[in-house]
Amino acid sequence: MKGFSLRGLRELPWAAFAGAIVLLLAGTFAALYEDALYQSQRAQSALGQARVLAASIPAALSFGDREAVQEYVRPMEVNPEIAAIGLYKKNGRLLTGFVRPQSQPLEPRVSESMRRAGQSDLVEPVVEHGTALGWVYLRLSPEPWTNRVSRYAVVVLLALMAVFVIAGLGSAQARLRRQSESLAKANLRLEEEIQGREEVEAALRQSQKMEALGQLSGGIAHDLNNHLMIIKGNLHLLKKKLGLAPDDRHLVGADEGINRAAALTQRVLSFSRKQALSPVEVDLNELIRDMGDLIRNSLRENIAVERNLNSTRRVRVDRNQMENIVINIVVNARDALPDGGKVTISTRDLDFNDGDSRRPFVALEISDTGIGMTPEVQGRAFDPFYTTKPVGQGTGLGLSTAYGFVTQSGGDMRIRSGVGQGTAISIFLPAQLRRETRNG
Amino acid sequence: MALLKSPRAFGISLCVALLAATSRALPDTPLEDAVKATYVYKFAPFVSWPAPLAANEPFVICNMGGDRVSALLPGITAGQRIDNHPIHVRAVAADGDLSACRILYIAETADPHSALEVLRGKPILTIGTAQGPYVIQLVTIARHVSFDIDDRLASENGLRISSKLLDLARKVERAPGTRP
Repeated sequence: MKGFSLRGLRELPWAAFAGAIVLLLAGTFAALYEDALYQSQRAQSALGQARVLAASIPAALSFGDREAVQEYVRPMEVNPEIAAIGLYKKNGRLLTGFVRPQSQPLEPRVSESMRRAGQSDLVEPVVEHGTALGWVYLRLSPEPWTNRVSRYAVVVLLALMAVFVIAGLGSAQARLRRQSESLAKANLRLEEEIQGREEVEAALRQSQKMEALGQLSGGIAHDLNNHLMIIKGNLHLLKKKLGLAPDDRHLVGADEGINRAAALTQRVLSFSRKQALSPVEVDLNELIRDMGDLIRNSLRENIAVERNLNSTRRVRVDRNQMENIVINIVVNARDALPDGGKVTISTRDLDFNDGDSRRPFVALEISDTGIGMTPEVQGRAFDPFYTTKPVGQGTGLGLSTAYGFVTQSGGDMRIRSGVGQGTAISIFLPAQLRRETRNG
Repeated sequence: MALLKSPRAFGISLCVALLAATSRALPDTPLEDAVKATYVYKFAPFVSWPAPLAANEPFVICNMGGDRVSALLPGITAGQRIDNHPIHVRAVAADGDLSACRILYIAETADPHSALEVLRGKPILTIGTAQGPYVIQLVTIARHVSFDIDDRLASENGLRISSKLLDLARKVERAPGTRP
């Protein structure tokens, strides 16, 4: 019982506590019952002895033969349970008897109060053939307290042992539960840490992949653009040299081809963060509100738009590029909602921990209630030229261009999606804290 | 066969309290006579008669002849009850009607012989002090009143005497078939 303490007792499960109470009550009841039983047996035995005496002595009592009476009484003196015996004649006077030294002396006359049988004494009439001849008075010795204690002690000890065993079990169980709870907590923390680490590693892998892809494609696009410019310049010289009309069909076709190729290289460059940007201070709430008609026109009738524009900060980005990205993502959302649904555009302020300091950001989130993405698709969504759309409908450059732009602007992008659970694209951009804007 | 009882049987002593009470009630009465008169009705609870008394019948003690004991009997039995029956003391003659008597005290002055012949076989407890044979004979030894019991005679008369009383007697004439 070394680990047993008050604290352990408090943490006892109620069932163990109730069990202990029941055992204690049962022990007490058993002790009381045994005590009552013993007292009743003692009283019965006393009554029996008094009756035996009353049946033996009528003649001796009636004729006042003190010696004869004492011969009947003497054997009873051996019984230590009897403290006193008095033999009273018909006229109520004491004939003879005996009293132990520590017991009270006998009354000289039998009285009414004596005849009311008490806990430890009684009066039995002496009757012969219906004729009353006197009384036998019998007083029991007080029970030694050691007897009484020993009678209770066994039961009390048993009950106490049961209580201690239950208390010990309960406290051990409580301790075990505490330990398993803390273990579960530690395990949860570990899992969370592992998950966080995995996310960080995935993000790192992604950014390394983007970096490599950006360098590769950026280099090619830059050179390709230079070559396109050479082709374009030479095409103009050739037009002058040959004296072709400005709307010459072949010339126009070649020019359009060059322009489209140049636009493509621009987009590749923007993904590789090598495009020329013109950042200005922008209030994203204002930007979204200004694009209201454009966004609605990009969507179908069965798609609702909700705006929760709660950011109070401004960001510094290339406004045109930012608009392109928003439209791109909204169009993606539309394609994810073939049966209609809802697109929610929201902005809010948030801070990222950067070592000891906190860096203010603005989050722009565009979410839909659409078909969502598988984890595999989600993992490749920012890859350039990766698309889930049919051939000819998507270039696979929408999200990768957006990613390039956002990272070039000092921000970051995240996708949260699940099959059938919709998609949420979040863009985090560093905030300019020089001027607060009105809430929108 | 007369048996000498254990020494305890001799020890029937005169109860001082009883005697004091009796002598207060009856002044100038010798103690011995008062004790004898008391004994006469005190035997009753220890004797069984063949016919029980009806509920309203008195317990009749008859008194034959006259001596100091018989003179004390009405006073001493006054207010006493035997098995809830009141005691009536009645003076009878030897040739009188003895059928109602349960106990017959025969005084020293009476001539017992004719009466005892008449009484032979009748369920009456005869008690006397002079020459018997009586069922119970009162004797005085060294100023102590004691009694002898003729259980054989009692048995012949259809009476049964409790062994508790026999234990107190000085001498017992045993009835045939009983063990001492």
